[in-house]
Amino acid sequence: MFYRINSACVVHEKVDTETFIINTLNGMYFVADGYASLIWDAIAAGYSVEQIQGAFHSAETFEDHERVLCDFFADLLSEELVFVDEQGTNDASTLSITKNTIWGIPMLSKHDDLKDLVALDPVHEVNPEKGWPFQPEV
Amino acid sequence: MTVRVSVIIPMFNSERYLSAAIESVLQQTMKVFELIVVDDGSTDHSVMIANSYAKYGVRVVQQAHRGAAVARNLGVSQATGDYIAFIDSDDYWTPDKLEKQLDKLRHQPYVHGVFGYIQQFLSPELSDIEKKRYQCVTTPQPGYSVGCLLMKRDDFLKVGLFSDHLQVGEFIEWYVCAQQQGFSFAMLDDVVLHRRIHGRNMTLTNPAATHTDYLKIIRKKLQHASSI
Repeated sequence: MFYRINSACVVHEKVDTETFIINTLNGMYFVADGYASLIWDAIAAGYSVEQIQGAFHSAETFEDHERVLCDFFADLLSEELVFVDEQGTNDASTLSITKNTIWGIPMLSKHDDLKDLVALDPVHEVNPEKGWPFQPEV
Repeated sequence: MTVRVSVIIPMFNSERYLSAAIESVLQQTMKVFELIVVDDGSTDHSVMIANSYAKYGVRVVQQAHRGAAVARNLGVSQATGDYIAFIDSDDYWTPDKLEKQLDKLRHQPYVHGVFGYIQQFLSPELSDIEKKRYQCVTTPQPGYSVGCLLMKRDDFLKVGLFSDHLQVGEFIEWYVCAQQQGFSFAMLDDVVLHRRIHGRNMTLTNPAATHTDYLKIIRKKLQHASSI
């Protein structure tokens, strides 16, 4: 199974070990630090859930990694930052995660203080047949 | 006492919609002190249209194409009223926007600026196909938008001018600065601005710039938060 970034309404940028993520549709923004940032990178690069789980298992990053990762993926889904792609395929090479003893378990830091401004500003193009979050086909 | 409100309209190739914006200002239930249209290097008939309102006191100033933020700042530098308001050249105000906002400011002396609700609409000339393409929420929303604000000019200048390094998010950055400096804002319950969705809105034509600006603003905001 794959998660895909909702690129129709989600923008993101990585700075050092932090990834800043904005859901431009509702104006919420998030900071994913440490492992959370690595997971986001892996999703953006097209790795499957199984590959991400496997990489964390191999690196022995933290206890109960399957449940922790499931919780993190559930957060991404509930915030509509990603969507499930059951049909996805990938040719990406093996994913490797390096253990970092300073980092905690992956979490999203959520902020709503700009939501009224950001959500108001963008006008989105949507696919006329499929609707949001699908962009128009080129 | 006469209340002096300066209104600034930045415009760039706005010939199709400019008249509606100007007339919504001129038809306010309280007379505006001055209306300054700042042309941001238009190549269509926008300047001619704006100049046709000179007999109503509309003043047109021109600059080379440098973006809406710089145009708004030029307008601010020319404004001499006690209050300041902005409207984009493709939108229009409700007739009692300024009157209601001034009333709110008078009755809430600790409020520095007043917003009102915004209502989006799909511009009538769009084809059905185009109308389906654009996500347009038509229910009124709290309008934390530059076109919905009324503020004393001196208070506006204390916050500072708009950053000219942002193409789209300059108002969000300005508003964040205002909040960080302790300025307070009220929100009218009424719609004050009708926002036209027409397919050439900046956030549609330049989404990359929009997103880059938002990310810059958020990083700056978080840096500020972590430094205090």
